[in-house]
Amino acid sequence: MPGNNFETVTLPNRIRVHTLSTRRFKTVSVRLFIHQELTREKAALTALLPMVLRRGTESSPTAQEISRSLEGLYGAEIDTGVMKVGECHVIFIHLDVPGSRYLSDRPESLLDRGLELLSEMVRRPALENGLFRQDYFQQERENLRRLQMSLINDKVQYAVIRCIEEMCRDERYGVSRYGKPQDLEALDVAGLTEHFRQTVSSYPMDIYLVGDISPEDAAKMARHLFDFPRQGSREIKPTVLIHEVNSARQVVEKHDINQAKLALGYRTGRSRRDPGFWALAFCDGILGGFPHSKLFMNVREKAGLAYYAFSKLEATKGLMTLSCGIDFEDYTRALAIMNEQVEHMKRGVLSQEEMDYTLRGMVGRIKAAEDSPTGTILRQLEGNINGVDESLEDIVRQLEGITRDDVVEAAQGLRLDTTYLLTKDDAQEVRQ
Amino acid sequence: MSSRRLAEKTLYEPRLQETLFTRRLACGLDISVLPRPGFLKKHATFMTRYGSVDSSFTLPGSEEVVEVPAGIAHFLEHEVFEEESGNAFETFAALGASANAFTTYTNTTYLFTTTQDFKKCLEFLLTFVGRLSLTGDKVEREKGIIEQELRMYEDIPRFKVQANLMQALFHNHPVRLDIGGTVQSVRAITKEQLELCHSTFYHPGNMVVFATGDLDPQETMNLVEDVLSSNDVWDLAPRTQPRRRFPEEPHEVLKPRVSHKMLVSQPILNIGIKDVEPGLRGPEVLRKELLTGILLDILLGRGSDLYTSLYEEGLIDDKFSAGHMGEADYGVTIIGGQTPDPRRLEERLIQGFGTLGHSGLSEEDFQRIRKKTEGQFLGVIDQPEALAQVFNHHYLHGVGLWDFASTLQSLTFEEVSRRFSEFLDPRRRSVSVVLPAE
Repeated sequence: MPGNNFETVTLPNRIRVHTLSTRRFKTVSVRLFIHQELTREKAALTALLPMVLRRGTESSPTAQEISRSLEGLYGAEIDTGVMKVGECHVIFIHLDVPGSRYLSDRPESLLDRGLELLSEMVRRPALENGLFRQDYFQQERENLRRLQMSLINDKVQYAVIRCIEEMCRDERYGVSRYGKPQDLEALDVAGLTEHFRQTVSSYPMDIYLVGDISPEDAAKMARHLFDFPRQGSREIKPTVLIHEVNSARQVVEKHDINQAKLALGYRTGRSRRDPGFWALAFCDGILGGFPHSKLFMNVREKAGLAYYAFSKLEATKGLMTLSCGIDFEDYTRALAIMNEQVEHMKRGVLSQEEMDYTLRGMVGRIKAAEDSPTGTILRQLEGNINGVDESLEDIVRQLEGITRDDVVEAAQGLRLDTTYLLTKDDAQEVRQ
Repeated sequence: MSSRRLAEKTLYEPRLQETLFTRRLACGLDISVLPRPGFLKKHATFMTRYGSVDSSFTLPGSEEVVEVPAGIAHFLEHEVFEEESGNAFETFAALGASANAFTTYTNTTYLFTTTQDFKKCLEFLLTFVGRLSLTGDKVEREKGIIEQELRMYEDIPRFKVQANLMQALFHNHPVRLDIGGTVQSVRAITKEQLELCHSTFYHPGNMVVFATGDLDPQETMNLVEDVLSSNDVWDLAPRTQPRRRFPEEPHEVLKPRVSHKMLVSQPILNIGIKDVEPGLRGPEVLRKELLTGILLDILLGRGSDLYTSLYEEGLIDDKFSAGHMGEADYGVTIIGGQTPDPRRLEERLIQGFGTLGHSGLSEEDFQRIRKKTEGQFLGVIDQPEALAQVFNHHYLHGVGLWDFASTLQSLTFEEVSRRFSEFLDPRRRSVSVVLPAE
């Protein structure tokens, strides 16, 4: 297997630089991540920060200048934002730079110029009197508010997100990665600037590079551009895993829509850190990870109730959500089929075929993700956050060793926590 | 074996350092392979030139016009996956591959990605697409699934705003209708109609195979050839293709404006501009597409003055976009995004175009955006799925994958400016708005 093994160096200021040197890709991909704890108090502030950073740097003080520079670098791209990985709130800045050797004029130092811009974005953003610019702050705060509100536009995602929010309402994981609209009013430029200084100087930071660059050159470049004085690297509190459910809840939300969405939230009792994680992932695969899985086969293919029906595992927090989109009248039937499939998993009603297909499917999916710089970097990041260092070969070997008993045992750990239904105002027959 | 081949080409692109291998078989099927050593996954697509707009046609050797309900190409895509013994997904699953298909206005594409058993997957792809095993029950059950698919899209504001726009722009052309049809049109589709469309449009002479990954090109093309001649699902006799019929479409839009209320966090505005000269052929379509892409980046890309001022005024966010889709017989540019004030945004866009129409575009912008376009093509080469789509899209217009770079270099600033002047005619413009209910 062509190893996707990163070489890591830690700079004196504790920024970690991970390089995967490969000629497979014609574009060089760089991902900078800053890790923080996800908390209700800081979520909106943290979400706002990368939005404001994208607006300007000391030498390119407007977003327009940054965009024009990137266009001039043959369409290099920078994207910023936040992700939620378990209860870790990750700020990201992405940079993609086309490889000079494949361009008509063979332009020089495209990557260096892209990296300088990236470095400037975190070290020397556009400031006025030592603070972020008031106009950028206000515009981006308004954009963040709209982003928070816009979750409802994608109802498939919305149902899953709402289910998880309800389920984890008393846990940090229940906090939205964008924070809440009511958090925005209290924010100000001074607070954001202070948050920026702390974030950059003391939270764990990783830089991943994938492409036609040697680890030596990457390390040299990183020492030159990123070894700025920092106060160290704080410890991030690990994600709290809760297994027991006192009593399952039901949540119904009504809007004027054309299709009902059902989402079931389960606690699995396992996370990426546990040795039994891959058995759980296998269980998720059989239940709803593929078109041959139980949910797709039974909710869609046999009953014809839905176009989509799938399960999804949040590896760091150990949550599994099952969801489908159905006709309003089919709620009871769909729910019964989904519950039945979970029961089948727990009782070991699984064929050898389901085991075989899922093994092949999972191995195929995990390997295929390595062909994308983003896929390979996200796998590393997830391992890194969970303190697990497994190569692709390690993962494949573990998957191949999983037995039907392992899967059933993982399934028996599933605890239904929240049943969430998105339906319309006058829907009939919405009852248990 | 070589007697079954009509032509074979090896196309090396020195700048990208990649080679595309192509072969045409006597039955009319085209095969292309782009080897990418070192990639773990292998990806193949099998496309038929048959999409949602092909709803009225005459069969070869007949003058009789066949009219079928909207959404039938998409329905057929669902049914092709149904096998006598179950579902094509399962066979791919058994091989460890991930399979899918999609229908557009102009084509239906079946595809898989795999890191194991590529040959068996390809063999199966080339077999199941050629056979259709329908029963009345299966057809009825599938209607329920498609109905849920359509209802899912009905609830997605960005689809709704665009669907409404297409209906406002076009009077008669079937591109005005949703690719999936409507709940009513889908209910009207019969087993016999599905069978007729399959036997008409799923002929090798109307199809193309593309594969990429760590592959031996000759071996892969030979395999396609062997599978086709050894299984009995394909009619390999060369055939004239059906003649598609498109109604007369006026140059002006049907309705200047259309509005809809639904559950959405803030209004969405889409402005559509109908192309002036449909009836383009092959390379001209690609040329217009590239020209328009560059033009839109000059006008409204993140580096433009207009984008910058709209963004700073809070009228748009960074998801604001402008794109063009063009085929031989229709073309449309769609500009838009979320906005708190659709009226004001529309006004500012039209005003901005007017001002630029007077002052003229900047040649420096043109040169810079052309560089950007060149560099971004590398990103496409790096993603097998995106690459296959670009290949297929070019193929439909009779354009080669490597024509991209040479066409791009041959574009002139004057052409872009001329293309811009076509944007300014209000009779070719429709506005579609989605507003929050309440």
